[in-house]
Amino acid sequence: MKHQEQVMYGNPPEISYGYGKQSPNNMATASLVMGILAAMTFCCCYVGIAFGSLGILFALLSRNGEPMDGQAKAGVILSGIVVGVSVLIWGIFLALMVAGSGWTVYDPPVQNLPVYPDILVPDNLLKGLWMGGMRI
Amino acid sequence: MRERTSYGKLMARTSLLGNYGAASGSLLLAWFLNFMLVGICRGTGLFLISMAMPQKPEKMAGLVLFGFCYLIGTVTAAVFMTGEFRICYQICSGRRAGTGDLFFALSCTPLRFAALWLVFILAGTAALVPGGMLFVLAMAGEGRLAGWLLSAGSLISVILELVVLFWMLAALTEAMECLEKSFHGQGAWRIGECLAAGWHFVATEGWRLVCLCPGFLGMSVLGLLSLGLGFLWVIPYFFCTLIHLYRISTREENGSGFYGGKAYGGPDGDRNGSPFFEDPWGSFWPDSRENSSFPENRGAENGYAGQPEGRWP
Repeated sequence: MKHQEQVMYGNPPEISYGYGKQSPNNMATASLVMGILAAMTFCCCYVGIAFGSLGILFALLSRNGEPMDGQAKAGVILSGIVVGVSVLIWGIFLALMVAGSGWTVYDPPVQNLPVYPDILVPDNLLKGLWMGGMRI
Repeated sequence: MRERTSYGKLMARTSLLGNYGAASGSLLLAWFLNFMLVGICRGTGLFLISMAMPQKPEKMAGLVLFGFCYLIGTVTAAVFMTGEFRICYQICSGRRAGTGDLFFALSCTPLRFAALWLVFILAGTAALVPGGMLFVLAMAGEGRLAGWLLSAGSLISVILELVVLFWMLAALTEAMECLEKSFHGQGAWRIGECLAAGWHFVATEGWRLVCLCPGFLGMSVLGLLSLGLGFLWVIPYFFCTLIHLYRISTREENGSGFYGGKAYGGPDGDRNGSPFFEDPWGSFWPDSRENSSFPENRGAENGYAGQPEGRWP
């Protein structure tokens, strides 16, 4: 496939910026930085996932026809681990929460519903939705 | 087929490397202006409608304000999207782009761009009709049938909106190409021609565009996971990919355009009867553009000569 591509499109040229100086791949560096930030903020709720996603994204965008840069590889590995583990932990946590709360089992008796005022503050809004039958 | 799609994406990534500052920064500015300023206006209208003024005349005033702000928001969104697309076009052409290009639609043939956007807004609305009809049927139906109708309606709506999106971007690319030629004194752009060219692109390159979607779907998921920040990089990448694919398609068909057309100073695309497979990098890379008619290469007549330092050799 690689050979076929080279025959079809020709060899990609050497990419050089400035006067014969090889420019560093900024996106690869950004990917590594995001990966490190993701690892550092791993335990800060959602922040690690956000940084990790950006790290993977930057690594994907840093490819320029050659094998992925070392920095980009490091960034995508770090970010991938952080995002994967975070999503797994959050998934397990939510599943346990849902399973333990009995949300799907409990059905409040309709006749004992309290009357809420028309203007709902957020707390009452939640209660209203709950009593109205929505499982949130 | 898929290799050519990958080739377009590779070209887009290579064009954007080192230029994300301009592309993503401009997009951030556009988001700020559009969502913050226009969003405040819309929010005020909604507030008047729903909360602040329960009396009827004020409610009507709120409705009018909301409608007016919605109109303004749509216009600014169209202007900024054209501007962002222009920035991506400049980057794909190897030229400098700045935040001033965000207002390109206002400074260059504004009425034609307005008409083009009007067509796309109408087409986008019309594309929602079949799916909407299935939604209505789903509301009337019951049980499993309603679920199937709902799913089918959503799927049809998404597909049709994607078709309109690709059509719109292809027509915008054609408009930019025509403006480029008119810059060189070869004619101006016509709305009908651009729409026809865009539709022709969608009709002939349909499968290539389908191949394009999964990769961008994954990147969009990453963009969503990063709280929307990732779209600052995904959207310019998407625009640049579309621009390169459109140019590849044009070159394949008539051996002209950016990748080999004489109009752009590149080698003649008709060499050996196989324009696409004949050194596609030839006119893209700066070494063959040294003698081209790009503004930055025209030297003294534009007041400056050579490439901006540090961007291209």
